Amino acid sequence: MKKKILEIKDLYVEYITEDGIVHAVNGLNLELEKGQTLGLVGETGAGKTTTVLSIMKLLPEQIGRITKGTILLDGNNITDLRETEMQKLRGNAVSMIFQDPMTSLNPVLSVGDQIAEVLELHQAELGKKRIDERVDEILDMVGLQKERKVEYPHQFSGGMKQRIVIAMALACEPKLLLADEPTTALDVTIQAQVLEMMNRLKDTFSTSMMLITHDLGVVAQTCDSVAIMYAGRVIEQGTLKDIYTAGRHHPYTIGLFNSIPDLTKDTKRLSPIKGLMPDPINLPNGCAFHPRCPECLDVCRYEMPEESCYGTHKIRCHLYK
Amino acid sequence: MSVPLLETKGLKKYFKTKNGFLHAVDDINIKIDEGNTLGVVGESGCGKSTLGRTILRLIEPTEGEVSFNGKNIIEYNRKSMVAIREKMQIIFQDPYASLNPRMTVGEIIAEPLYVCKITKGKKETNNRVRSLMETVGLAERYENAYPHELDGGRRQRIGIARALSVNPKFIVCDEPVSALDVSIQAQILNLMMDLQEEQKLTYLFITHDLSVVKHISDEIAVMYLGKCVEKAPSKELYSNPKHPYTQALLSAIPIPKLDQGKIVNIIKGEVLSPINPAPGCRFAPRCPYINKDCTVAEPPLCEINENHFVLCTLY
Amino acid sequence: MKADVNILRKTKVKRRGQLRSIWNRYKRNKLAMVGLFLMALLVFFSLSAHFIVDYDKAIHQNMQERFQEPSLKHIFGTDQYGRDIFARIIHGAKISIFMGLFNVAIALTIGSIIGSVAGYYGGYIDGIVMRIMDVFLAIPQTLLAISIVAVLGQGVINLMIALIISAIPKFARIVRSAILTVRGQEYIEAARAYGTNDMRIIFKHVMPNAIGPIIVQATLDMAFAILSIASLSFLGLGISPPTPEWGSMLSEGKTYMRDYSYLVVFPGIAIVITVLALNLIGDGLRDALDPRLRN
Repeated sequence: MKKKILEIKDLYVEYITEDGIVHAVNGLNLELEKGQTLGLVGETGAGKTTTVLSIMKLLPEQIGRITKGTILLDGNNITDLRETEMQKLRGNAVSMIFQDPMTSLNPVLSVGDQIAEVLELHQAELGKKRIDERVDEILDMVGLQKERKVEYPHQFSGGMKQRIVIAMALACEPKLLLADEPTTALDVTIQAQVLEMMNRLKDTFSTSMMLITHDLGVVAQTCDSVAIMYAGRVIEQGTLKDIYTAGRHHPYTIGLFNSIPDLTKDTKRLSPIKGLMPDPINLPNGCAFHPRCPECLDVCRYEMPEESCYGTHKIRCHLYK
Repeated sequence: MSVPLLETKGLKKYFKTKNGFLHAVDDINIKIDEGNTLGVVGESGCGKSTLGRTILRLIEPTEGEVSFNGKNIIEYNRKSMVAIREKMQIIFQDPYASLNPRMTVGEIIAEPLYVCKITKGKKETNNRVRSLMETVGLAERYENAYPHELDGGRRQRIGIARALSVNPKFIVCDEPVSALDVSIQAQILNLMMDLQEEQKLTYLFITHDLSVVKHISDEIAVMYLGKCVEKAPSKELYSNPKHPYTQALLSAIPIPKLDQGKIVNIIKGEVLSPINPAPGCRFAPRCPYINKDCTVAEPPLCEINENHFVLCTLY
Repeated sequence: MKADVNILRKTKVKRRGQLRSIWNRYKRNKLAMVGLFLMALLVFFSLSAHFIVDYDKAIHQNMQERFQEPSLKHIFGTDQYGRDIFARIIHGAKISIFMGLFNVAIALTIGSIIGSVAGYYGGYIDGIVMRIMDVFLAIPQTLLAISIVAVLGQGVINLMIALIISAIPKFARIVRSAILTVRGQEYIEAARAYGTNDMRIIFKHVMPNAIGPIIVQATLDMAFAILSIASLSFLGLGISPPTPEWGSMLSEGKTYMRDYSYLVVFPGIAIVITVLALNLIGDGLRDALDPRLRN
């Protein structure tokens, strides 16, 4: 068996708000093998971002907390790590790319300084001169001229800013890269460029990656395995082939695929999933998807289904037992 | 042939900036027949939103004509413009910013009815608001809710109800589904297609996402830096894209299928600034098929197939 | 989805009056409620001043009872002319609070009109109007008020005019910036798209969304106006004696502050409480006026 870079077991995360307790993640199990890319797919409110923030231990203080479960990073339990120890890991062993490149860069520091800062924090032993050279190398890798490192974020376009953010995340050659919708804010032609670059860099650094997205097309281009989330649980996971070939699937997965306009076919009407995402404060009993499910059984209304395994393919649905 | 419901002739909008003129919309000629949909596709900064707003005269054009039912509305004075506004509406991209946060759902939908004096008295207004809410699939109980209490999909339905309230003939849809989740996107697109059929609506559907417009459009115009680079019937454009930019756009869409996944044809570079563009084709700096003619003068618009227009030196 | 809708219809969202929901949100803020309570108390005292103590007691000089320490007869003591300090504070509240209110109401109205015209139309109008406001803003407000009183001469009306003129630029600026942030929103464009005229857009769509910072400024400015009246009176430019006014009480009392500290302590406390109450109310209102903050 291959070594796992990330293992999440039975994770529960809650947010305490004025309206009640938001159950953002409810018993999440995930595994990511070294060097692989996992696509975490789901709609708004599925708990994708919460999962990533839990791994980074960046949940909003006082409000969000992990109530149960363990997170193993490269075999080490990081669930109860203290903030000071976690700071050493962040940016070094695990880094994160945020969705919005416009706001995740500091506008008053030149981009070269921002990349150098990451290196100074985690690899101070390199020395000033070597760090300077590293910055040039990294910029070159993400396809930016090294002369531009003295410029400020506002002098770059959206796509270039996202390249810089990626450069910063990869500066210390992390073992795990968490990318939260890295291309959603970009135009399609730029998205294609950035995705291509991320794929290439991931291979050069042999980094493992977790790509969070709502776009099943992006997943097909970049990922090795896929996990589909709904209301804080993984309802179906498997290899790219498991998920993208016809066969047994969770009704939500089928609904998601049907919602995407198919460019190769000539259908006039789309077939969306009826209804809306459930309120995470007040989740339905049983399977959280049952109010929207076209194949809802009686048992779905009161009992949470167990995961059924078919090799690498796992589905959490009463239809398959 | 009958008069198209909407037609623009040489429509231009230049914004004055510190560094010169920003060519947001540059010589756009489109025609939409009643009951049809024209999809306008392009990346950020190509001027597609400005085009929609210029057609509605929310932004005054620099030059050119916008004809609605054969009459040039650019020449209309304030009063006749108010009268024509009922016939032309807009649905916005951002369901958060496009609804007044201090008004309830009912008030938002009732406001155009009051302003355009469509209904008389409170009772008639209320009835009309309820029937509009039903049309767009909003439960009556949300009448007194505030927009921020609802999710994006429902909010977008409010925006649609507001646009429909004045019985328009023509609606500019400015990225109406871009901010929504895929499963909700499909719901809203279906709703818009149903409404079009029931009420004989004409849409100008603006989007950056080629996969969204395919289903809803009869004809598609691709814009790049203020210019319309290709225009063709929907099917023709997808099966036989001619302009290098259209081809690149199409191939950049990530397709959710195995094996089709890998991108074949990535175009280099980024969109240039639309301020004081250089002569010649605006796509030339990124074009893989660039030749010496491209940077000299603007290529002519040629009809290569029936109703299929391309702005490129290759043809 | 149909069944879904039917179930939901039973739990229809209740019609809530605009004012009622604002009040519900306001109620939840404890400090704001304290502020409101203090303000209510002050207003009550100022309205019923004549029933609590005779006005005569506040102005009648009684040389036999000079510098009486606080006691049962004079709970706040008496001043150098033997006037009851409690009576003077109660009657002084009337002047401070109503002059403050009046000042803010007029300055707010004029400032809002100037600010909204400048903000909504922009361009040359904006440039000219706001540069004039900048000239006024460049002069410290108190100094401006002093100069205006100095030119017009002493008196209640002139004092009011001075305070209003010196407050207008602040309101104009704040209204303008509030309107500028709202003006670019898409719902304003939507309103224009169905033919709403400018007046209705300003009053129905722009103003309600810009009101938060304006209300806060108004309450803060009322506090400032009360302080200004007090300080101008303290300088001898405001309310002329023997009319009871907190600032002039402070001014007169300062000579005897070393020996009879209560002469300045009580009017000082009165001013502090009023200003504090208004600030608390302002903060509470800002939050309450925004429906995006949940009930």
